[in-house]
Amino acid sequence: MSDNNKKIEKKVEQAFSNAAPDIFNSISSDCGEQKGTVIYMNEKKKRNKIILSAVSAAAVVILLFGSVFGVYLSNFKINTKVSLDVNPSVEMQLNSKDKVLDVKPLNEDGTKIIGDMDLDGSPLNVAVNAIIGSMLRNGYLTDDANSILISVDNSDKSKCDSLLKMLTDEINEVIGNNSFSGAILGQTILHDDNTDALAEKYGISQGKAQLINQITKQNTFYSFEDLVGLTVNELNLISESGNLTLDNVAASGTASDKAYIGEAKAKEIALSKAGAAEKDVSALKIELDWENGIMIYDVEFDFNSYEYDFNINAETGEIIKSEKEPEIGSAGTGNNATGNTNTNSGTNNGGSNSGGEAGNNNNNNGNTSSGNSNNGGGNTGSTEQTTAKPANGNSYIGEAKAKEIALNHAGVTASQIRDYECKLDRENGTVVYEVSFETNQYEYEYDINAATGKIIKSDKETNDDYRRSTNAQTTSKTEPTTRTPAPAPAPTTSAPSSSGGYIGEAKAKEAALNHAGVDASKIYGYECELEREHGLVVYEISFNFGYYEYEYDINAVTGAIVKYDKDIDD
Amino acid sequence: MLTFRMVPANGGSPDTDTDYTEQYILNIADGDKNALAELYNKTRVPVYSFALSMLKNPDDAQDILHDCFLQIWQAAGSYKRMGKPMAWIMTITKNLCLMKIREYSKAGEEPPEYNEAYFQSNDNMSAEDKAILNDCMSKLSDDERQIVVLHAVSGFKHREIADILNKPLSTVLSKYNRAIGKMRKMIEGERLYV
Repeated sequence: MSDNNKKIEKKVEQAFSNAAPDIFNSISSDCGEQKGTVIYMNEKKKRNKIILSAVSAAAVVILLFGSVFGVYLSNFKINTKVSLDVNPSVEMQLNSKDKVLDVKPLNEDGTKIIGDMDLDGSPLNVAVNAIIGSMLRNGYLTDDANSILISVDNSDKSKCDSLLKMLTDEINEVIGNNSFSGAILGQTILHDDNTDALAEKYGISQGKAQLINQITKQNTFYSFEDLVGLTVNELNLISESGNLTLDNVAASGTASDKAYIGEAKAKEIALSKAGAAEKDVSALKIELDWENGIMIYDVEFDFNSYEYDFNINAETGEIIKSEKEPEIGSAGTGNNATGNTNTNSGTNNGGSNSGGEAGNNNNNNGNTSSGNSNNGGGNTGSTEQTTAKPANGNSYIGEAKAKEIALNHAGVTASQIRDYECKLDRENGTVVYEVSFETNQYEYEYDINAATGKIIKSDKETNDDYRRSTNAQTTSKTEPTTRTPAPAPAPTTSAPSSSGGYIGEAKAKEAALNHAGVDASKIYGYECELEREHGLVVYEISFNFGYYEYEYDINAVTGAIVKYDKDIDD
Repeated sequence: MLTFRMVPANGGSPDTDTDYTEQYILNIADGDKNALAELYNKTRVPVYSFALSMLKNPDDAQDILHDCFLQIWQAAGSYKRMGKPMAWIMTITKNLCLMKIREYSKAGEEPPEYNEAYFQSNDNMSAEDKAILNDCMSKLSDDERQIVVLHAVSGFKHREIADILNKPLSTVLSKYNRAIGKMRKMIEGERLYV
């Protein structure tokens, strides 16, 4: 429910709360000796002698007419619920013989579908025929949107399976008469409180809530709220395009993307924008995705030593976002330790900025960390972005907020930093603010979810100047090797705690885990290597926890954290 | 809603709101009046509000509030732990209300209609409270009012309300949506923010 509804509820609660009198003294004085009155809930059993007699009489009647009553139950008691979701959502209640007791629309479109049809008492296949027929007639199921979700709610698993098969066959047959094929998702309702609550909250069927939950579990970049307004066809497309494996969902057929421009057209638009021919690009990847309220094609490829990333409105072909940045490693940028602001300065900003909408995210101060990157365009860093506007309006948190979040996390103030940069980018399907800055001691990099403000990635490492000074100290005391860059001394994971005066792997691990705030028993994929990084001997530690991958460089002598990185585990 | 903490008198270590409510009832069964006071503090508003939503006059609702806690005092020993203490209390409330309605019926009378004057002199209520209560009592149908009160005031889920009122969930959901829409229009519409 909306916040508005919550406000209304709050006002109603307050009004009744203030109206309620306090009469406890009167109640307390009237509470005499307890007699042990018995109260049963929901009128299940006797309330007094009269009702006892009535119930007894009823019991006799039931005994006498048990068989009649049994027939009644089998005919009129709800045994199974089946819901059909397309965009219209409809629920059918069935008796034990799979005859329809009631058909209920679960949303406005569902009401339109049911119209004045009276399906009570119909066999299930007849009712399904009528409902699917109505969906076809009313244009809800078409060649452009052919997906339907069937959800069966019955505690008997085998009964669910047989109903799902029957319904899938029936619906395929009905749709098949219309010169296109259906894409059918079938599932059993599992009933967990969370899903039921979400269904209730958003006014959707339990089946659709369960499907969305499955998708958000598989792809954590989606939230339930992101997907709740989508049709079943759109959910199915997202699931197929992302190769999601949905537990408990049997899928048949392929979701139609005919309502969209298609991958080929999206590719053509992107290549044309980049001025590239398909034969000249590599690592081409096209994915249908849902972002900021619309379906998009996410087109990525490498061309001419640059990585291109386009978001193209799947319905209109409009380019919503285009990004171009040097390929990783193309000019010595492959290692985080070198920083990312100075490596390609002056090489890529030759007037290709399409301007227009670009102005609301990038800093335009023209001062990068190296101080040698001015190129007349005032466009800092190495990324060209043509659009920073979210597709559905200004739903991003804004650069100022992103900066504030990053500074708070780093525990520094704006006056302590230099070489600040912020740009809007897209990482793993999520629009992020990439924020970077330096202090006297460290270089910081953050990826902050542009919509939610959540820190997706943080990276902190000792900056070059500071490293040189500490390095000089530590090497003079502890390192027997030369200062020239050389292979790591002994990249084994079992460096003795005392060797060379190093703190030992156990202590290094402890420092990393403490910093990450995670329990040793809950991590996986743990690795530790003794390495030399920029002349400094470090324990390189990496591990996974939850959805995240952590990497640490721990100074092998002092135990100080030289660098850390927390990122979504791909 | 009210929050509270109490060390159960007869064992166990309740750790949820429902556990505490159940524990109060079990302690009441042992004759513990402090537990009755705690339970009263926690459930006074939901009980009174539900009774008011059914009977539409504050005098009868106050009687029900009184009788309900006497019933709880008397019947706590029969309460079986089922994890639904609030539903049990609301069942008592509903049955007392139905008895009250039957009393009117037996006497050949109609239950009193709601009157906006009822809460005019209630100093605990703001002008907005009174206007909202008046709208709720006079502009919503009986079903709508009871559903809104059980959800907004007592915090019941729609599924639980369907059980308490013995109505299909879909009916509860649609009536709730209609009712909250009406309330929104009334509250946002015209006169409550004058």
